[in-house]
Amino acid sequence: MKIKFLLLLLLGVSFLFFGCAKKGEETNVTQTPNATQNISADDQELADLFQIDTDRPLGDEGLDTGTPSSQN
Amino acid sequence: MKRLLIFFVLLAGLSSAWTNDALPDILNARYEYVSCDVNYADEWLSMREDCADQEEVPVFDSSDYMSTLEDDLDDLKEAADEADKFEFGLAAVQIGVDSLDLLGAIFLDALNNKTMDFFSCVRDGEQPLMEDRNDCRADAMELEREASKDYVNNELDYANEQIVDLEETGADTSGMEEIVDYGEELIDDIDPAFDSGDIKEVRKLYLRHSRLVLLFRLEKMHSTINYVEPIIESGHNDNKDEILERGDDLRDDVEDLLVQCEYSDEVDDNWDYARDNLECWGDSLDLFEEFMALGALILEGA
Repeated sequence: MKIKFLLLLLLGVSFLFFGCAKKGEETNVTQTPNATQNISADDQELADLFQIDTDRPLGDEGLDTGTPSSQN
Repeated sequence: MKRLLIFFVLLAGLSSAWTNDALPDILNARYEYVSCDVNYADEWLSMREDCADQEEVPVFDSSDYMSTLEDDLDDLKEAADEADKFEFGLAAVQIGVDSLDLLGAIFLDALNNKTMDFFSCVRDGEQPLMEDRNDCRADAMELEREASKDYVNNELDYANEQIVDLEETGADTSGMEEIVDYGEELIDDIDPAFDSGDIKEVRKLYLRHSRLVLLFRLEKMHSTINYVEPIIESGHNDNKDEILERGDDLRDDVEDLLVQCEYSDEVDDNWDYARDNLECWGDSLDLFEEFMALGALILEGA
């Protein structure tokens, strides 16, 4: 009777152990990124790419100021 | 709260905008050029008044016009010292407007009781003044020649930095690289344009430069959208559908503008090229805005 109890206890512990191990495996599988996700930047990095200078560069301002002459 | 955070992120991006270290030099050189014209106008009016005294004809009082131009010149100097490109542009436009005002007053005054001897006196008197002005302009142009080389070189360095940053992500940057190649050709054309002594040739450089800066930014937006699209598509951003739809529309608009504003190093007519530039920049402003809005949308759906 005692032996049967010990065997059942061992079996229970074994199930618990393997159950936890199995659960751990599954967790690891879902947490491991696939190949595509590995090369992807996250949303913050993607958003950072959307910056652009909007100001116009210096032009020819001042190069065409009219000056008086006898032709005027 | 999240929107507020996004706002501050975008604001930080704008406030840390890149500035060209050669900008103060180029603005000061331009100021020198404009001051040659204003000083010439002052001396020319004095010479004209002397001719009027000599020939005993009336002339209008030009002191208010000159005083206005001197004030404009002070504003221009202040903007140059502060390296404020926007204020400098406004001050330069104001000088152009007030100079035209002066020219109009001179034209009207020429119709008021003048003699042929008076006109002859002015014609003779302006020759040495024009020579001095041309020498003054040439000195200013020498300053601008060197400053403009530094200016474009700095821009190319900045452009190459942006290319490297995007390349590291795996984006296709070939369009941006092509614009940089055109920019290097532009640097090669700086000396011949300044050597010509023709201000129209120098203006052509600025017109080409303006177009290249715009095209580089359009190419950058194009590369970015193409790179980001598949990542968003395979991801789980809450705004995924809207980002993809608006990104697709923006890419179409950018491609259209890239065709419409295609670069040419041949400037047949400065005014036509300038008008096209104005139109291209005008059309691009909404696209820049939409591009930055897409970044905010990505953050919002993260």
